[in-house]
Amino acid sequence: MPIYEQTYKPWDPQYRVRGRWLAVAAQELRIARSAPIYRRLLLLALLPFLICLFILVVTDLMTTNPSALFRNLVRQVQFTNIDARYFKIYLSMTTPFVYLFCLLVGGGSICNDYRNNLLEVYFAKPLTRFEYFFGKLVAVCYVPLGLTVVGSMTLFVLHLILAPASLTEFLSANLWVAPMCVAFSLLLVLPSALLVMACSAMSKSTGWASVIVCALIFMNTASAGVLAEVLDERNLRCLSFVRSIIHMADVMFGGRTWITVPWYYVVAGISTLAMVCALIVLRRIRSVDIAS
Amino acid sequence: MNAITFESVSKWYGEVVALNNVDFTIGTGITGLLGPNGAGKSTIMNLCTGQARPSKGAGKVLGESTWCNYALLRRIGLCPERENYYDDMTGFEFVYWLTRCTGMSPRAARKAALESIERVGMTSRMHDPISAYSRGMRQRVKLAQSFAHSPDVLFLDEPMTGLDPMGRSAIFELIRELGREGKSVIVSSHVLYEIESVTQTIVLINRGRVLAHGDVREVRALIDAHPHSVTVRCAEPRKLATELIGDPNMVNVKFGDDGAVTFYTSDANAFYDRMNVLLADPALGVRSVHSPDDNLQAVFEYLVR
Repeated sequence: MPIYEQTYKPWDPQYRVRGRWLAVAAQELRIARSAPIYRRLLLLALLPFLICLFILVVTDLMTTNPSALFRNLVRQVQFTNIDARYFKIYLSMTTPFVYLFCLLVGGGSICNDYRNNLLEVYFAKPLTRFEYFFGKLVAVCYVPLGLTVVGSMTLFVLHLILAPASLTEFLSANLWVAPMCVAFSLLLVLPSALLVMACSAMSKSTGWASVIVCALIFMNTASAGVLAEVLDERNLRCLSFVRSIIHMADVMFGGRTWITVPWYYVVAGISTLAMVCALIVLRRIRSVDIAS
Repeated sequence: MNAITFESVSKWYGEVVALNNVDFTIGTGITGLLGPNGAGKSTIMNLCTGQARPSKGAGKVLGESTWCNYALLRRIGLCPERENYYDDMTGFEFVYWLTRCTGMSPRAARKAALESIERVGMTSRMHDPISAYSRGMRQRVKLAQSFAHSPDVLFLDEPMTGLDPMGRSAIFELIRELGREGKSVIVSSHVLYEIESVTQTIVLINRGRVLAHGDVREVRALIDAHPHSVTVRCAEPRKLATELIGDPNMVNVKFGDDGAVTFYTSDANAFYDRMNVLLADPALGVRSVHSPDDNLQAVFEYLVR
């Protein structure tokens, strides 16, 4: 009988402490990609980008055209002005796809692991609950942030490249647009993803999670609208998540808004929603102890 | 150092007591965690793999508490009882992704996954979706993920479920091999012969309490309430009985068919010493000596029922 000694364990360089969430995220994305609707939706989601890219290229080419006729024509058509409003329109066009992708990837993110008893195996590995949560969040936000942040930044940089003549003028007037695009994208994507994940954590299947999310958003918007009408206070519409996002888009990109609630209250409301959702997910993951 | 140490550990879920003041230690090699359904085997597995926290007492693996001890979890492997798969995932993907979760780099995880899949004999089917696997194949893949990251302590919760005889034999051999490598392998089962096939060291649990732990024969020797029974087949059973009946530890003698005589003794070792002398006597014509209750089944029945 050999004598076994387990007190000493040599350092093993092949094990990394950081980045284990990457495995969870990659695995979740692999599952999402295997859905047939995923690629079709991704192609469809590229449409706003392609439309805006077309407008940008045409506008920039016409603006740089020596002919005064073309330059005047561009100035006449308001939609073709590449400014904050242009980026706001782009982000508004991608917003429905953000919700759809959050539902598609996030709807089954937690409940499928529950249903397939995978949490038991995951947490028997040296994977913290936060790493698991973060990995799932990254997977859900991956495409939506790609569409919003990467899309808007690509258009921004492309405009700088295609219209070098108006570079100084454009940057002095619109430099703030770039960070605003990133901030708005985060404000839109993170709470949406967390909301879907929380619904997924509380439901039994992807379908149920999607139904709960849609019902919550519909009821929230409807009740905020009814409350605003009954009390004759239009600022109460900001109780609606969707309305709050629209209001923030108006505030951040300098659009006209008829709601007078200060932006920080709206941001605080959205952040609270996101935190509550994150707590629900983390709480649900921890309850695996009781579930087993 | 003991692989597992439980000191006065209790675990309750609401009003249900799953473990009640449990004390035991498990060393290296293979140990069977034995008990009827609902005895508390899976709760012990959960406590040992950091899935649950003891309500009272301290449960340690390799000298450390497992709850939120992620460095320690790297040295632990678990093959759970329940099915844990996405059906559209292939066997390789399942093992690979779970190995990645231990912190291995993609290349190292791929290598480890391939090796462990080969050890469970699933290489030829590893790229098929799990939905196309038989129950036994699923069990093998689940087993492969548990030791792919080369853990020091391995928990196998009902690992033989759904396996065919060939598969069982292969997995028995694999478990023995893992034990020989110096790993502590804890195999839980309510099927006695499964445990007996791989180890003689057991922890016997019933209704959340440890009834016995140690070597099966040692445990059996401590059960005074049930005398050991030894059946001898020989040409002269009555002569043999006459030789042995004077033994002060002899409780009862029963004669059976075909020259069989069963002795009930309270001291099996003294009986075997005497038997060794008598075996040399050609006049008795001893054909076989067999102890029907010197096995796990008997120990289990005496202690549980």
